Amino acid sequence: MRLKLGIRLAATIFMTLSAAGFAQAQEVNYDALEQVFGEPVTTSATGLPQTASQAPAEMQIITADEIRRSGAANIPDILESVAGVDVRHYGALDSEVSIRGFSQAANPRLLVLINGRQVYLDDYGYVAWQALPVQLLQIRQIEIVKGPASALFGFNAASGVINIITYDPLTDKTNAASATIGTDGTLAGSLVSTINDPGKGGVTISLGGLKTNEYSTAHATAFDTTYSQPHSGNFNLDGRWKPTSRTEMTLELTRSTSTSTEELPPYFDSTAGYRENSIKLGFAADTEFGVATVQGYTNQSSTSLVSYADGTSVLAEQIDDIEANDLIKIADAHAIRVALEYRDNRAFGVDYQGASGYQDYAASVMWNWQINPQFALTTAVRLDHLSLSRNDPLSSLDRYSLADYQNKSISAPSFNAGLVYQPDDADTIRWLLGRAVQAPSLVDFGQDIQRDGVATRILYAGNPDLQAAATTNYEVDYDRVLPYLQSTLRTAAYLNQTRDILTSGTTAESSYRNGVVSAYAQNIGAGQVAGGEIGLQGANMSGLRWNMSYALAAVQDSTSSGPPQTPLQFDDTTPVSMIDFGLGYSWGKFEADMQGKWQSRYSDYRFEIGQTGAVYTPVTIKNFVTISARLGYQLTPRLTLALSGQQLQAGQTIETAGLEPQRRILFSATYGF
Amino acid sequence: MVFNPAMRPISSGVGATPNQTATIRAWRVLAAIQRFCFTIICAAAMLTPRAGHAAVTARDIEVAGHILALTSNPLSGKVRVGIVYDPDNPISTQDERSMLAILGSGLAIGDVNLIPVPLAIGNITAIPTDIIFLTTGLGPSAVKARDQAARERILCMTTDLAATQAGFCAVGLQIDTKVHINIDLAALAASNVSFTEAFMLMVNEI
Repeated sequence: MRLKLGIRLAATIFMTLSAAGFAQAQEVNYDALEQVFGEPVTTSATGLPQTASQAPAEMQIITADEIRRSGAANIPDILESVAGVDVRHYGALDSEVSIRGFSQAANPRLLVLINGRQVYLDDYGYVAWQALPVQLLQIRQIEIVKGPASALFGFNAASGVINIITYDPLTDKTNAASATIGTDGTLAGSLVSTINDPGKGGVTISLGGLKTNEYSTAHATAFDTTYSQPHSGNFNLDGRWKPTSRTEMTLELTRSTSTSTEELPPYFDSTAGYRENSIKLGFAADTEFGVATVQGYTNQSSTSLVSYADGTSVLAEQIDDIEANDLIKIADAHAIRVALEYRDNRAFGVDYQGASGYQDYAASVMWNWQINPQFALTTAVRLDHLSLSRNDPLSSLDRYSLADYQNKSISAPSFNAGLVYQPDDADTIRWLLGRAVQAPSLVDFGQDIQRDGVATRILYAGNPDLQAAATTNYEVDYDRVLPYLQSTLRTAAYLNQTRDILTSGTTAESSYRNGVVSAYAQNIGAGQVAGGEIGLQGANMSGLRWNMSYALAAVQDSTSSGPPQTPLQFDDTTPVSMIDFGLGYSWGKFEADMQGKWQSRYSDYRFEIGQTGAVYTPVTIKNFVTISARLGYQLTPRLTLALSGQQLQAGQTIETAGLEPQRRILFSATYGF
Repeated sequence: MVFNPAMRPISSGVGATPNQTATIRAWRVLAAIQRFCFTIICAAAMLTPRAGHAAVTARDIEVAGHILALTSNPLSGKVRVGIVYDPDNPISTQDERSMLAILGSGLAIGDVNLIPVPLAIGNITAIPTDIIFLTTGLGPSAVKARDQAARERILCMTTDLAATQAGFCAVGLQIDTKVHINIDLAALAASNVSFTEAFMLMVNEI
């Protein structure tokens, strides 16, 4: 089946290319562009290659050097230092990431990509961070866009986008291996190797694995402690080839597995086993009509869930996606990007009722106008049309018919507009307006989960009447380079409003009749977040570097006033204040870095199945501090040794209502070859 | 004293009295002296390094080296950089000396190793090079560099924006807190060099 899909995808791309006259283009040479412009270059804001400071979005880019110096063993830990990003650890491998409010376990509002390929899971609507098929050694940069970005990326970029960019085997040789040993039985290994003829073709292969002991905690439920040794492993092949000087082809294959305790949506304590595969093919060309790109990918995932609340189930998901776009510069002042995208996704499992999916047709246009050297206006519009599909059988308890599911469609516009004013090289002001759309997850949209409860039968059902949630964001940013402090000041103030907030069957109001509890996923009202960030980051020639930021996110939630109701109070699930601080110093072969975070109190939830359905118990998480640090020493030009620690402030910290993160000390050796 | 033509009592000596004629002569002498002084001052200004002129820096060279990786057919290995200068122009020679010091016997940047080759503007065709870098202050004589780039089909870069704006050199670098790249499309086309579309989307086209 996988092979057939791959062949079908390849054939589709080939036919599209043939029809396009075999146009198309080169992708972005991130390394050379960064060296030329002196700062990281991104395409994540508009699709147009831009320096981060020019992008019409509040964006932060974490570079490979920063990743190394963080000492982190996974991507969520790296993201902890970003202002406005809320990272929570529910288990040794289970982390959740939210941006600018509406923080929750298994966040459905954050879209995550690897080299433009979605790794967000449409089935429940979340990201399994522990199963991302990428090694830290092969990451060039992590691009974080704060705020809605649907007009470029489509559904689910409601609160932001994280795009992980790996080194390009066409231009970069990445040959490194690392081994890590640490407390609590931590063992990890990673290998990345590139074979290339620079500028003509190359392949990078990476593989790695990690195992550790699960956090032990006095507050664990019986289930929390049933799985004691989470582990993960993954493989990634990234090949790029230039048939001609102006054309480029790409092929990416990935496979990842992981097993760990996990807080599944919404707040199910479970053991999740992931098996994920993907194939991506792309073709790009520089033509007289701009940079044309065709890209298609297939994601397959199989998730085994063992939950004391939900029993054992296996859910499979497949996403087929193909996109064609053209980016053209017209005269000196205008750039236009037009794109068409088709997506087919479906989820099915023996423990679920039937298969559900949707087909999405989307068209988008982006226009960038450099009005004069100081002002640039970017406008992007996208229209998605989604048709829901659903197969037999329905649960006998379902109040909807098959036709209700099969006749459902949603048309949703989204847009982003940004005016960037750079009066001089030191100052940047951005006025941003955006509207993003969050699609219902496949489970919420069209799956039935039927269980036998303690004294009842329980149905958590998909709801074909769901509407997409829409988030509108108003924002002003001001950045200033401060040469006398050798720093950059970044500030942002925003207001984002979400209507038709989505909640799953378990968190929606349930009804009880004739021994049956039934609950349907719902749109539960509106909410808004008012907040901002202010931060200072800098470095000097002596090797000293520093960063400090404060983020405010005040959530106002009206989801609990009047039916339909939810037990979740979003205005209390996000810490109002977060402070990040860091200090680092490089001296010859030594590197020393420390990163800390303080955050104010918030409410998390503990989930149980009661006599008449789901019971959510709020748990107040008091304000806390986390500190991580790394000491690195370059023993030889090729060999670097590092000692790093996470959660150094205490032996154990209560961060969530789940397991309590423990202090971990890791020793690693990295060899470049 | 600043000469103001509006102060002249009589515009010509025709029909003037002897006193008036003497006055006219005096004004003419004054005007000639002023013109002479003005010419000297202008010449001095052109020949003396301006207080604001900064010689080519290592950062300029680094950026230029990395730009080579963004051409459609990137150069690699040894790349001979023709440093085009005017031996009679102090600004130009200052740039040339600065570049020679930075490049030394060869400077590796990315996939290229830049080897300096000084080329006097009057003798620009003497030694073949892989690219040329125009020093500042060549003025109209920089047209020879444009012709050389077109003849040899090689890229021309400079930090002298006037040269790029005049169409004498394809790529103009302007590096302060941020980097601005200006590209003269006609000069680029004449040299038969092209850049990746992604790079062209990030530059100012002239």
